[in-house]
Amino acid sequence: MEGLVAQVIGLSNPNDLNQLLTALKSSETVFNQNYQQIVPALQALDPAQHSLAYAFFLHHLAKGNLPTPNAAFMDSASRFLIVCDASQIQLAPDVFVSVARKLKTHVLAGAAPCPRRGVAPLLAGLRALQPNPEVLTPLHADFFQLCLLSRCYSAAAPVLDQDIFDVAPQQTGSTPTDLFLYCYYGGMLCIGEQGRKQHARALELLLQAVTAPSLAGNAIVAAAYKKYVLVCLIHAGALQPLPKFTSSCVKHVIDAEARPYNELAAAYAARNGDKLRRAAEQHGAVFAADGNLGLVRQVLASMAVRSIQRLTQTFLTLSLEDIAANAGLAGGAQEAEARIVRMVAAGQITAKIDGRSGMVRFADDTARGGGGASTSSAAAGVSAAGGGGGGSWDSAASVAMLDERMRAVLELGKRLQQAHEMVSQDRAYLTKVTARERSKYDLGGGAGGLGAGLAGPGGGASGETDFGPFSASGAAV
Amino acid sequence: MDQVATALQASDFAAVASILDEAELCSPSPSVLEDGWPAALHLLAHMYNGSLPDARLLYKRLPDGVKADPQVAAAWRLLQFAWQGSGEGVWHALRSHPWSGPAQALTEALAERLRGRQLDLVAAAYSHITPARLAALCGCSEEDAVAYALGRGWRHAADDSGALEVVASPPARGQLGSLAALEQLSVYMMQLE
Amino acid sequence: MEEDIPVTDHGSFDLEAYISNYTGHGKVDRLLFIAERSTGKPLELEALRMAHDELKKTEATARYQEVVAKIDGRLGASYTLDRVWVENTERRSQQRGERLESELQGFKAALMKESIRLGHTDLGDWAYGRGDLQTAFKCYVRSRDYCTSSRHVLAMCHNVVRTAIELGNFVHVANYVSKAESTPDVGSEAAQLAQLRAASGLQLLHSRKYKQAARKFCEVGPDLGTSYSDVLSLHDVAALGGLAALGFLDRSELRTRVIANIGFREVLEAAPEIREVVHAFYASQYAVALRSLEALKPSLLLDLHASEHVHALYNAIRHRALCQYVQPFSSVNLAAMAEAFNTPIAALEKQLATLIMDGAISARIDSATKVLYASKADARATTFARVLAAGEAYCRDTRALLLRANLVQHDFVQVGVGGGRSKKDRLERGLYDMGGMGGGGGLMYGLGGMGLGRSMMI
Repeated sequence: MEGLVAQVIGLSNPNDLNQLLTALKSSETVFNQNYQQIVPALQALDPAQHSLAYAFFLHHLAKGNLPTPNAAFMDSASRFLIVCDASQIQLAPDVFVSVARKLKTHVLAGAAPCPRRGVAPLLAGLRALQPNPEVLTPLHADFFQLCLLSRCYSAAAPVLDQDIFDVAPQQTGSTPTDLFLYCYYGGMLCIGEQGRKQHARALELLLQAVTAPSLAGNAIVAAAYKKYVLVCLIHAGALQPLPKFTSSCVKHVIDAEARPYNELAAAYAARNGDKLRRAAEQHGAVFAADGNLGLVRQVLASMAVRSIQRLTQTFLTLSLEDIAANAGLAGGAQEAEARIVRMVAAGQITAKIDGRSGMVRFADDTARGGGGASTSSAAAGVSAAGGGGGGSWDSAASVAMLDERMRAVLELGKRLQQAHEMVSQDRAYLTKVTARERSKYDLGGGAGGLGAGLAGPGGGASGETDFGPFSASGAAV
Repeated sequence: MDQVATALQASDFAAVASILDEAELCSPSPSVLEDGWPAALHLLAHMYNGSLPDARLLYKRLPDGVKADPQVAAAWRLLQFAWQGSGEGVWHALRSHPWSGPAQALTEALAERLRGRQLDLVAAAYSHITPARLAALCGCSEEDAVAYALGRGWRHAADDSGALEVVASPPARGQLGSLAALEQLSVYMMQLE
Repeated sequence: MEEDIPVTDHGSFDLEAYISNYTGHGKVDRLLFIAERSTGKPLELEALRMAHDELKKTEATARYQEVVAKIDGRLGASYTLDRVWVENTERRSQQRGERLESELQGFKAALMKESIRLGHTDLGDWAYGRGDLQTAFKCYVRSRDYCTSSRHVLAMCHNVVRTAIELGNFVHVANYVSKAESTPDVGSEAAQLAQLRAASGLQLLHSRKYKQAARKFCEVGPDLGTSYSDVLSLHDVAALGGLAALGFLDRSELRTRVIANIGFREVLEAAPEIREVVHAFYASQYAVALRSLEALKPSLLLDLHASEHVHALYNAIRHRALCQYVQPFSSVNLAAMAEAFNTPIAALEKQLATLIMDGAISARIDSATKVLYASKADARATTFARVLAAGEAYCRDTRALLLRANLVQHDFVQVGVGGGRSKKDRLERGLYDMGGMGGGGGLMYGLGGMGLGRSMMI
């Protein structure tokens, strides 16, 4: 063991790291035979300077019969994850991930589990393992899980805000299951934050889980789909159909397991409050078993929001009593007033209550009715996902918003171009294409793929028409 | 904790929540939220930032012993009213507890901020409002409410209803004529061509 | 789900005149329906008496006994159970049935195709006459295999359709009507063609496909005459067709199919009151039209076929009237409109709100001043909103696409637990699956396309 430690200290410099890695990998028996000396040996090492070796030592320490939770292990592993040297540990991602996961096991073990203790170390470890912030690591899911368990949702925000574009299995050793869990836990974190923006992100993540390539349905997909349905109803007011490329086995799983959810969505689409409530009650046990009762309750509550939103599309003015009656609010005018104020605050509608007559004017840009139709809080009215009656588009805020969106679109466009170039030069892809072409002539069965492929250009073309207005509005501004 | 004191001293209330969050996450102690943790201050700081979900999650993290603390309980009541969007309830909860320690300074700042938010909200959601209602929403006397309203350029309604007419402030127009904006626009046009 | 309002006001209902349009089963069915809908009224007994008289001319002893039980002695001694008649009729009928059955067996043994067809048909007629519709239906259907000419097929279809209508089995009605319509020579007899169309319209009506029902009824010509009096009268066709057309055809179709349709115009003459409504509606005299419709409601509710659909048809007509009324205006005073529609303002406001929410009317209601303003689409605001939404959707989809491309590039596919397949096998399956689903290779094509779209766009 002393020899190994000396070797580590001697070889922990950028030039000799590969040699050290080989040595560490072949030292399995040394670790096994000298288990008792691992802890003292760790004392001799510096987690930042000798990160690669430190990972191996911790790995073998945790692998042995170490009782959980072990305070000393947690301390050294936490410290190691926070201070470790990224360039070193990236040489042995599997060992590093195993240490981080052991830490997770330890903080979750025992009579008084303390998941919070793992949050900061796993975040640091995740960052160290990422070659760049767009890469998924196996630790994403574990980190999210700890955030959820410790109720430290906000700690996950910076990771959630970052889009993942690369799974890089060679570099980080991530697996499809890691991706599914990343999407699912990430979705749950976003749901917990409850903001509009977070809902949109939650939908994106959950949809990624549902549509990720899969040859077999799994429980994560089913659970993700269930949450997807509910958040879709809350956020968008209707269940958006799954993309065409959703794999068929996933569709099977959904059909088999998510019927109550689809029924709820159907009742919602029928705009029938009673039917919705009945569907929610009828399948209450299922929703509770899935841990989705809270979301179902939000779905029910969002029905009133939608009916008031519809009223704003239907009426120019309406009294508070009539609003209460129309939206089925039990609390009468008073509840209607409170709700309207809340919806205005949330940017869901634009409305002006006349405190004298109890009449509400649903503000409207055309200012047909004259008096006080223009709003000061344009940014609140401009909820991009639609819904409200629009806001004033003349403000600097809305211009800024357009500007930001435009930048995002151009940025993504550039990436797409890069991806396209990369793919069209990729040998493996070209081989696949030629193989497909050939099999098309052999079997005459390639049409499906081609037809589906055509959906791509369609999407591109619609993108083009959709952005026609950009030029118009740009000119108008 | 020193950082918190510094932030409070500098009236930088917005920073308090993130400092405490960070400290909580970095603490190796499993019982960090028990031993003299400024839980009420932490809750109020989240509310000050308007991040009610974070405040709610924090409350759920707190051990039962801490939840029993009268100041924490009062902060929780305040949070519940804020969550439900009940303007009157918030003021009642804010007034009915004798806040002490660092929380006191924060509640004063919070009250100031809430009043500002309520006034913004009234400006967005009302065309006319009675002084009584405005006073209830802003947690002050009717005279003060009228004073706030007039301070924002609102005026008494033309009829004799005694109500206040909300005058919308003109939307902020950006510097659309600036050279940079023009350049940006031409870049877009190029791309769109 | 329909409102089964027991009709109270039918003092003006002329049963004698109404029922004289019908014969056979249609007549009895209608009388019994009216009796059921007017329990406890003088009309009930009158209808039952007529049904009794009618049934006594037939062999339907079971039905006769039912009616006598319903009369329950309320019409005096001559309307109590006539056991002798029942027994005699029953015996005679049974004998005839046995004779027909043995004849049929004989034909079958001798393989006489035409006689077998006639035998089945006769047996069907016999059962139909007794009111045993299930047996009749089976016999008629059996005769189908022995039809040798299109005339036979048409006759068979006619029998099956009539029986199926009485049974309320409209799937069979649709099947056999279309079978008949695809038979050569179907147009040779105008009355027969009209009957088929009327039956088809009836079937569509009961399937709640009102728009198609309207179109079908409007194709019925005056040739129908009284030829279908055991099922539908010309008056029924005019009423049902006219109402469905008002509710479910747009203005131009209403003109071409009803107002300017010479054939159907003649049919409408059989129901002058409906004709008046149609013309008033077409001339935008909604108050007149709706008032007349209200007056017609009681008698429609007593009609075997119309009753169930009166509610839906009336609602649709009212909605169409409201939509057409507001269409030309940029603003409408609700008070004036309420007067024109003979409705309280509050109810009108509610109906209009429903129509606006359903997208049938593009307008907004100023509830404070009770004025309806037509929505002028704000092109600028909608464009802004659409641009933002499209931009967001584009970003979201592109992000998903980029990640997906990466997943495919790394063969990042979740494989089943039980799948102990070799990697090669898995890859092939993966390719197959993705090809079929439009992922995989399809995605790559898609990428190319997106790139192309982008370069067009930028």
